Amino acid sequence: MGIIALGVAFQVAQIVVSVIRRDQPAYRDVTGDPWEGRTLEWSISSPPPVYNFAHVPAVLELDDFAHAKETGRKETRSFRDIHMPSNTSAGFFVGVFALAFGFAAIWHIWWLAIAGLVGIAAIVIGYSFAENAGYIIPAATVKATEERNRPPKSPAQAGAAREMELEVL
Amino acid sequence: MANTHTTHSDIPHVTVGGYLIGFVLAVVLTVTSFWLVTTGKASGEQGLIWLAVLGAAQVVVHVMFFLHVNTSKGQRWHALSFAYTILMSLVIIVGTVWVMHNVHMLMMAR
Amino acid sequence: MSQSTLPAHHAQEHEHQPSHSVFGFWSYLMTDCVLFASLFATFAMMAQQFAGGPTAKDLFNLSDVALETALLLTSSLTFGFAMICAQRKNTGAVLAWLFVTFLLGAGFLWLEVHEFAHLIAEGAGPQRSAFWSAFFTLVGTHGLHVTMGLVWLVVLAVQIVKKPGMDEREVRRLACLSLFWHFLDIVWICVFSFVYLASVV
Repeated sequence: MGIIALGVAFQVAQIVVSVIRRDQPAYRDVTGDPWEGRTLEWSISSPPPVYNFAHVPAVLELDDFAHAKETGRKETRSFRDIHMPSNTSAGFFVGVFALAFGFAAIWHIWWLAIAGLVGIAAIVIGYSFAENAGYIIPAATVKATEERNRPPKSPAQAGAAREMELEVL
Repeated sequence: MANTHTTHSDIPHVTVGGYLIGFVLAVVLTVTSFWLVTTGKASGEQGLIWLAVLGAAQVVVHVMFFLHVNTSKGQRWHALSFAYTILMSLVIIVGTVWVMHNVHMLMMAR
Repeated sequence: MSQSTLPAHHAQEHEHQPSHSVFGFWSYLMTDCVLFASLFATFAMMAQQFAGGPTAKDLFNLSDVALETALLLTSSLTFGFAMICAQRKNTGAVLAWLFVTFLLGAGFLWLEVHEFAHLIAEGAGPQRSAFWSAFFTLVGTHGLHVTMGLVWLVVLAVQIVKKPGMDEREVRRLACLSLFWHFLDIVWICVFSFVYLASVV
């Protein structure tokens, strides 16, 4: 019991310290890659932009992101327009009707079960009539987003951040 | 697979002849199955084997002539995933029958 | 090794990969196939379990089954003709063949519902015995799929009427429905072979 209380105390302390020191350089990460990640999800900012990746990653090695960092491989392709899918709330409402159906099916409330199924069908069919052509994010916007979200990171900077961390302690 | 440059992706090119051949073959196989059973020409285990063979043949006809699944570039993934699915389906069906048959034997069930 | 190895079709404004929806739908169909496999496995187990009640031999009407098979098989052919017309961008013919397909499919369903009603009236409903439970589950699931297909067919026909030019979008949806419809006929081959014919062999 005592050990668990100790664990909880440390957890709370960690959160408090992290919040208090949040503006110190060692605690600030603007790259989206604070822990020298090896896989692709660390190659984009956190939170990620709406399009996730500015370029479709070209994976040439195992742990490609780590390899790219080690060999200094840079992305040389220019930014391009990105075709995004349209936003929709249809899925959410299908979920609502599915919830109603599930509840009704368990308790044999047949009118609600049928209403749930009809609702799902109506939303799915209705959605299929929508144009949903998506929208384009122009290359310039992609470029601006990438540059704003994080300045380019090099291996040297990571080392520098760690040195500063030691000095702070 | 993401690098196919075809404008119509994996929608295959279809011909009237192909559909008609498939249809005729399917009819022949269907009629044969029905005939064998209704005239009693094939009964018991032999009958089941005939039905399985003719059924499998007709499935192949459908897959080739109606679904256009083949090993051409556009259909390769369809063919592979279909082969895998058939394998899994056979595991499920044959596996169930085999295991439950053994269960019945060992437990002297009805 | 600083160049990417993606193919150089970047002449377009944005990366426009060809749609893989047809393969995606095919993948779903493969999962549906596994679902039906488990229903067939179950039916195989219950094939002799009549609980002392009405048997398959007592009640199956093979001439009705033959007619259902003929309707469904022909509907596959007519859908094929619709696809050919879509290839030739002949919208009127597409709608005509889709309509014929719908009639054949609806005919199949009507016969099947009729058969189910008859079975239930004869005391061979899904609760009567393990055999009939398995039968209604398997054949009923197939029938539900056919019903979905018919609904989809109507919706797609309406969408084609609204867009007679038939974009890539409509053709893609026709292709997906085509896969679905032929797949249902394939499942029916197994149904009439292993459920109906095998039960009276």
